Amino acid sequence: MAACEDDPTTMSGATAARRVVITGRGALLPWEGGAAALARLAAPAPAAPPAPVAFDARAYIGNPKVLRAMHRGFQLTAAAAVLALREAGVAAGGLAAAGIDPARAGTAVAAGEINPATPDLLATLAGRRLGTAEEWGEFGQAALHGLHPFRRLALLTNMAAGHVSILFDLQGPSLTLTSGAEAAAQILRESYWLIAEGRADLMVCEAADTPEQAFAPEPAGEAAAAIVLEALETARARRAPIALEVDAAALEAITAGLGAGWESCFPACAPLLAALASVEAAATREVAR
Amino acid sequence: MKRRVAITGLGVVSALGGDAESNRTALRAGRSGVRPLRQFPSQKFPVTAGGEVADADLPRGAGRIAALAETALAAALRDARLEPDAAPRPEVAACWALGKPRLDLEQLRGWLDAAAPDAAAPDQLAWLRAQAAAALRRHGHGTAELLARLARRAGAGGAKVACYTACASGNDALGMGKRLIERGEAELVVAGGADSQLDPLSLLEYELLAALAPPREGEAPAAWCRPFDRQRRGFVVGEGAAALVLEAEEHARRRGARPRAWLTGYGSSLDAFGLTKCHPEGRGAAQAMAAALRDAGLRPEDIDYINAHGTGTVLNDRAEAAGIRAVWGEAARAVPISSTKAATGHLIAAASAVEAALTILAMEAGFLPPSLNYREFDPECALNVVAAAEERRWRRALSNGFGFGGQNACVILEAA
Repeated sequence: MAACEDDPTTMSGATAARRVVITGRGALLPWEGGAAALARLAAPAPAAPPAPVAFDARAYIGNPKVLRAMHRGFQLTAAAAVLALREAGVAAGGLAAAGIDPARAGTAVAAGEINPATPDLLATLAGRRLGTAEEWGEFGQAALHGLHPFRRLALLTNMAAGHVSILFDLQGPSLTLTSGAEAAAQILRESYWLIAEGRADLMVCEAADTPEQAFAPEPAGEAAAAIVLEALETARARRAPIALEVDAAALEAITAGLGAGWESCFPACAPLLAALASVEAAATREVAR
Repeated sequence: MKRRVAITGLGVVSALGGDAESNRTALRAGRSGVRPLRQFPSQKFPVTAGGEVADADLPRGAGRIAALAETALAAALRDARLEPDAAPRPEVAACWALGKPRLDLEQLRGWLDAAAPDAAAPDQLAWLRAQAAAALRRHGHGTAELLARLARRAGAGGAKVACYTACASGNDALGMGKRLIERGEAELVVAGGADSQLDPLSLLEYELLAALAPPREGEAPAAWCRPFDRQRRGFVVGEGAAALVLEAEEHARRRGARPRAWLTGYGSSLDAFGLTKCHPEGRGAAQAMAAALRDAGLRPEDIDYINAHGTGTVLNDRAEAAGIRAVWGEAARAVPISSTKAATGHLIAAASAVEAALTILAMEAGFLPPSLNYREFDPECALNVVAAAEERRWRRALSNGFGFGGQNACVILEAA
């Protein structure tokens, strides 16, 4: 990682790359959220993290109708994004007011599959036989009445990005990656390059762990993390608080090796949590303006 | 100067056929792969038809999505003259759009029987849900596990990326692969998409969303989906997979591989408007199309053909047409456009990967793919819709993929 200075060189040696900085951080851990959670990451992980996160989604997402449509994993993801964007000086729906072109601001999410065995499905399925055309037909008719009409959307992996984009009017590039434990580091890398290559000015990167994820490694508890990456010139123009300047090599370094048991607790979030811990540990320097 | 990305191998399996040539032949002839479902006894089910791949075209024993992906991947590797299961090389990467793992309802029902005495009790519900999650992991249906298998088959020792952006996933996988090569992080990327949502639960979920074309009295299922037609009412679900071998131009030249086409543009965007409805003016769609054009260094008038997302739903087709008008202006009425979803069904996460493959096959052979069942002009979709395959040489295509959650991703393909 490089302290943010006026010298335009980057540590990666990449050519023609715009400088990229971290302007927002958000974390929700089972014990607390926000700044206290960031501080905790510097310490070793406790042996047995409690689950779930002590968390009231209404504190982050005001619209109850929106909240009802959100899987808990999406709520956690969105809440972490709210925290990170708040630190970056962006209020919900306030991207343009903060001096950022919505079409050049996007989001990237590392996500896991969501367990489709929901209570409404189990209730509809209980006591039924499935085999003949008649039995499938009866189940089908019952399911049309018993299943939630928006069940499909509630369980789509990419809906976290959809929710966050609507909350903040993010219209730029988007990715949801489901590559398992690698996904969070991948979204940070792709977001970095989107900004460095001039395809976006701001990217919100998020991930969440919930024990209901249907792929290994299974997390031991709940957590969510978000990082706002931004072009240095955009951050400077709007006088955003800059936590750290990063380049491609620095990102690789800070997303690896969270250690101390955190990875096994929160595998989906671990790379983002590692980056947050690194930023927290580093001496934060104000950019020379 | 960006590195050029060649497409040196292609494999595709869809309801139109089990290999590239059968897909091309069926597409050119205007045949549809939509027919009554055979994967389960569906005669009295609320959904009875879809774009189903013939069982004979798939290996036995694997899960459906895995079988589709592995079939397309094997064909693409053969086409690119690459050995399957080669030792992993760090300069080889894998980028896949993989559909949501299917839940086996009969298995779930079996667990319900075992969950006596009270399946509705909170602890029993938790147990059942844990069983379902564990089963998805155990059977290797989980996305990360399938990605690892596909990467091993492709000899990918570099990045292994799985994308899920709903119906835009395939284009995002291709775009991710393109950028890995352009940045020099990979020399060769096996990219593609695979999906099958023809299982009972997925079909019910689409029916609940009122997204499916209703059966029409006296009409075969092949006629139900009518993209851009004034009488359109929705889509039919399909299944399939496509794999493309993306390769840095220099790498392809060094090993004597012949480019079949070039992947020159990619752009993505978000509607930031609604989870179920796309932006009515096609704002996000227009932004993704414009970004792909910029990436390719092309102007709208350089495009010879648009492979539309074209699901056949009233709102989606209208919004896509509006987005095209926003980018092309008056010329939107001139550029030929079609949706191949009426022929293949909507392949969801695999849709845009398969459509990119079909676009390349048509471009190579010199015909414009038809938009089946297009009969009646809709002034809200005032586009030059290709109703029947048209023999014509052309060189540049835009292929669109737009998904639930406001996801948009577009790619540009150019003739070699």
